Amino acid sequence: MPGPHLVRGIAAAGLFLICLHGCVAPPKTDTPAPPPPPVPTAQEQSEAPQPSAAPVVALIKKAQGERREGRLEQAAASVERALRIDPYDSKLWNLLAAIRLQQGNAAQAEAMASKSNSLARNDRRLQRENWLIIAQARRQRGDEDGAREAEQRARTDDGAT
Amino acid sequence: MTRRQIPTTKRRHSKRYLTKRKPARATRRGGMLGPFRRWSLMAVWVLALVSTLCGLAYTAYLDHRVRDRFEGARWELPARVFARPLELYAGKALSPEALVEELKLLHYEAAQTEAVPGRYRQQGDTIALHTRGFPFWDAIEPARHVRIDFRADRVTGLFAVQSNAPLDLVRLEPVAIANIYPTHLEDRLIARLEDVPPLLVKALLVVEDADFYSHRGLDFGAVARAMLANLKAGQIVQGGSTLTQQLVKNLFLSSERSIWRKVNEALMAGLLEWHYSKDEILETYINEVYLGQDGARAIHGFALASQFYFKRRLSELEPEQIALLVGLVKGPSYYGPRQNPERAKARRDLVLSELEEQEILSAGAAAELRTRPLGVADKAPSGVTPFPAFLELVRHQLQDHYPEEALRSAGLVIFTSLDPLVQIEAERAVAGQLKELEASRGLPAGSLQTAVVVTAVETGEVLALVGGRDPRLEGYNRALDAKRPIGSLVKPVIYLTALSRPREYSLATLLDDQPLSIRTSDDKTWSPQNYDRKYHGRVTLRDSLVASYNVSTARLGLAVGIDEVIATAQRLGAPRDLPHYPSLLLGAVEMTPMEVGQIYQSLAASGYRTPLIAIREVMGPDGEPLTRYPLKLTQAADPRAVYLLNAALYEVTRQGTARALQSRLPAHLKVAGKTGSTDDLRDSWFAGFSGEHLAVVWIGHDDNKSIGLTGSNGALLVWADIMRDLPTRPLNLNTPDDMEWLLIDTQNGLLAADYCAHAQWMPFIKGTAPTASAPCVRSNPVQSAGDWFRGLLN
Repeated sequence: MPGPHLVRGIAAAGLFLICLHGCVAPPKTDTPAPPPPPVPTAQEQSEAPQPSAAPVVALIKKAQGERREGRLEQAAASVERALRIDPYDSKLWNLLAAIRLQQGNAAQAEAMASKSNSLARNDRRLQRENWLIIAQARRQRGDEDGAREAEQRARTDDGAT
Repeated sequence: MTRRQIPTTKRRHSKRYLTKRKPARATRRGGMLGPFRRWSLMAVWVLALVSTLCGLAYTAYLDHRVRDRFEGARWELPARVFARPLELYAGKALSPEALVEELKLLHYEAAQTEAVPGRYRQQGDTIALHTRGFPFWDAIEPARHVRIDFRADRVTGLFAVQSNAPLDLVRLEPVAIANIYPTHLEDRLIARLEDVPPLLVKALLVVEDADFYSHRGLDFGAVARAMLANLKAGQIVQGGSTLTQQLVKNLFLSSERSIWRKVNEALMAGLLEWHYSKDEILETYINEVYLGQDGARAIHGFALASQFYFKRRLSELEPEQIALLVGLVKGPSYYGPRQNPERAKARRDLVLSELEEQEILSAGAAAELRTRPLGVADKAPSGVTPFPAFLELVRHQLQDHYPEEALRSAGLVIFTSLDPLVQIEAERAVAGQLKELEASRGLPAGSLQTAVVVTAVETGEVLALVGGRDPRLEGYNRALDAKRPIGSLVKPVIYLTALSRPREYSLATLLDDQPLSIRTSDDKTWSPQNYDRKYHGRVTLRDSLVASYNVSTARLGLAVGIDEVIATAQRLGAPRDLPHYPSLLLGAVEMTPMEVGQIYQSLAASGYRTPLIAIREVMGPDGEPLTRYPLKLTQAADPRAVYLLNAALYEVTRQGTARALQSRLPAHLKVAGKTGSTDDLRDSWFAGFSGEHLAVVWIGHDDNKSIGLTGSNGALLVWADIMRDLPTRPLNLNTPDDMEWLLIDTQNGLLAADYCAHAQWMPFIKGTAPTASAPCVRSNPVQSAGDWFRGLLN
C-alpha cells in the first residue's frame, strides 16, 4: 500500500506532466473556442456583495421608515420604486419579502426571498435572512417540514436555491 | 363709468323678467265688502296659503337640488392617465437629448433663466430645470430647481441649484398620456382656490362681479346699472347676473330665457349663498366655467383652459395670459384666441385696462402688458391620446377593478408604466424599418403590418406598445388582439422542458436530426422539415436550438411529451387553450405578441414569472390612494434550467439564426433571443431581451398572406433598431450556484479540450455533465496521463 508521500510524489509528477502538456499542446484549430464563461454575468464582474446605489439607499430608508410606521403597502411601493432603478439589488428583494411576510402574504414572501437568494450569491448573511423568511412563510402556510428544511439551510447551506 | 366699456357675459335680463314683476303687486288689492267679495277674499287667502306652501315646498326641493349637487362629486370628471415619472439620479443612463425630449412632452419651455417651474436651460452637458412638483400616490414631490450634469449619455451629477447640494433622487412630474372622458365630453381640471393666482381672482371679480364678496347672490345695484347702461346704449350691453347666478345657471338650468328660469336662478342663487361660503362658490365657478371647445370636447375651468391655450399650469401664467382667460368668459368662441386673435387681443387689452383703472395693475405695467403677444400655443394639447394601443391595455387591465362608468366620471388618476421615450423609440424603429423592408423587398408601400411589446425585464412593466404601423390610429390592436402562429418562438419552451430534467438532458445531449414521420391521432402523417430542407444528423441540444432545427426539435418535444411542453408553457404564462398536436412543437400555435411577451418575460427574469402589467396605481380625484398593482412573482421554472436555456439563446444572437444582430448592436450590448417564422413566411417574429428590456416584434399581413420574410430578415431588424437606441444594460445571466462551464465536442457531446476541432464551452448543472472524454482528447497521450493523475487526486 503506497504511503502518503508516494501519493504526493505521483501527484507532483502528474502536475508537472499537465504543465508539460500545456507547453507542448498541439496548435489550436481554426475554430478556437471562446474563453469561459462566454456569457456575461453580474457575479463574475464583482465577487463581493455590492453596496446599493445612492438613490436605492434613499428609497430603502424611506421604505424602512414607512414600515416602522406600519404603512406596509407604502413601504412596498417604495421598494418597488427602487427595484425599477436596480432590479439586480438582492437587498431590495429581501426587503420586499420581509414586508410581504409581515402582511401575511406568504406566497409572495417566499417567491421574493427566493429571488433575492438567486441574486445574492456572495452575500451569506442576506442568504441566511432569506432562508429564515422562507421558513416563516412556509410555516404560515402550514408547511412545517418545508419550514424546517429552510431553517436548516439558513444554518448550514451556502444559500443555493 | 368703466362698467359700460366692458360688456360681460352675464345673462342678459330679458324684458319679461323686468316687467313681469308688476302683476305681483296688483294682486294685493282686495278686502272689499259683499258676500261674493268675501268669498273671493277667502279664495284669495286660501290660494295665497296654498301657493305659499307650494312655494315653500318648491324652495325645499330646490334646496335639496342645490345641496345634493354640492355635497357629493360636483362633476363627472374624466380619468387622467399618466406615463411613468422620469426618475433622475446620478448614474442613470439618460442622454441630455432624451431628457429634453421628456421635458418637451411635459410642455417645459426652454428659457434664458429657469428660475420658475416649467422652464429649463441647456448648456452643453448640463441642464438646469425647475420642476413643477406633483402629488404622487405615495408622496407629494415638491417643485425643485435642479442642475443635472451628463457625460457619455449618463447622468453624472444631480444638484439643488440654490444650495449646490447633491440630490439622491428627483422625480419629474409624469407626462399626461390620455383622458377617459364622460360621455357628454366635458373636460375639466379641478383647481383649488388657494392654487389660483390672486390676480386671476381679482380680474375675474372686477370684470364679472365686482360686489361678489358683499352681495347675497343677487346684486340689485348691478341689475339697475345694467338696465341703465342697456337703456342708454339702446341694446343689451350689460347683464346684471352675479357669479353666483351664472354658476347656478351653468350647473342647474337650461339656457332658455324665461321668467320661470330667472325665478329659479334667483332662488337657487340665494340658497347657494345661504349654504356655502363665498370661497366655495368662487372655487366652484372657476372650475365650472366654459372656456373653449376642442372638436367635441368642451373645455371647462380655468385650470384646463390654462393648459389648453398656454400649455401651462395656472400658477405659471403671465398677467396678460390671465387677462386673456378672464376675457374669454364672455364668449369663448367669439373671443377665441386661435380663431379670432384680433378680437381676443382687444378683449384682453380691455381687461388689462380695467385692471389698471381699478389700480390692480400700475399704468406702466398695464401698458407694457398690452404690447405683449397673446402667447397662445399654436396647437392645443390634444384631447386624443397619442398612444391608443397602450391606453387600450390600460383599460383592459382596469376592468377588473373599475367599471367603464367609473373610468369616465370618477376623476380617477391612473399612473401607468408607459415610458414615453421607449414608446417613441419603438414607433421610430417601426416606421423606419417597415418602409425600408417594403422598398428593398419590392412590397407595396404600406402593406406590412406590425406589433411591438416592450417590457422591463425584472418587474414585468409594459413600457411601450405598438398596435400597428400607424401608432396614432385607434382600432385593431395587433399587440393585444392579433393571434398568430408563433413558429420557432415556441422552441425555447420545449428545450426548457428538457433541460428541467437535468438527469436526462443537458446542452450537450445529442439529438437526432434525421427524417421523422409520425402518424397523428387523426390518422395523418406528420413529417417535419428543416428550413434549409436538409437533415443534420446528430446535433447537440444547444446547436439544435441555436440553428433552430425543426426535425431534432420535434423529436425532442415528442420525447419529453407534448403535454409536458404545454405544462411548461403555461407555467411560463402562456394562455390556457393550447392545442395538443405534434405540430404545436413547431409553433403551429397562435398567440398574441403580448402572450409571447409573457412567456419570454419569465425566461428573461431567470424563471420568475411576473404578470405583464401596465398600471402602477390608481388615485381618487382628491389624491386618495385607491388601488395599487403590486409586483407579483411566481417561480415558474428552475433558475438553473433557465440559465442553460438563456446561455443557448445568447448563442442564437452570436452564431445562430439571429447572428445578424452582431453587426446591428454595439459590441458591449449582449442580448439573447429567438427568431420565429411560419409556413410560407406569413409571420416574421423576434423575441429577445437585454439585461433590462424585453421586446417582442411581429410583422405580417392582416389578411394572413405571405410576406416573404423570416424572423431574421424582418422582425429582427425592427427589434435591433429598438434595442440599439434604448439606454439598456447588457444581458445579465445571473449564474445560479452549482453551475460549471466545460468544453464539449459537438460531434459527440463528450468532454473536449480546447485544441479539439469542434470544441464549445457549455454550462452544466454540476454533476450532469458528460464524464467521458471525446476521441480528440483521448488521442493525446499526455492529456490522458493528466486525466489519470487528476482522477487519482480526486
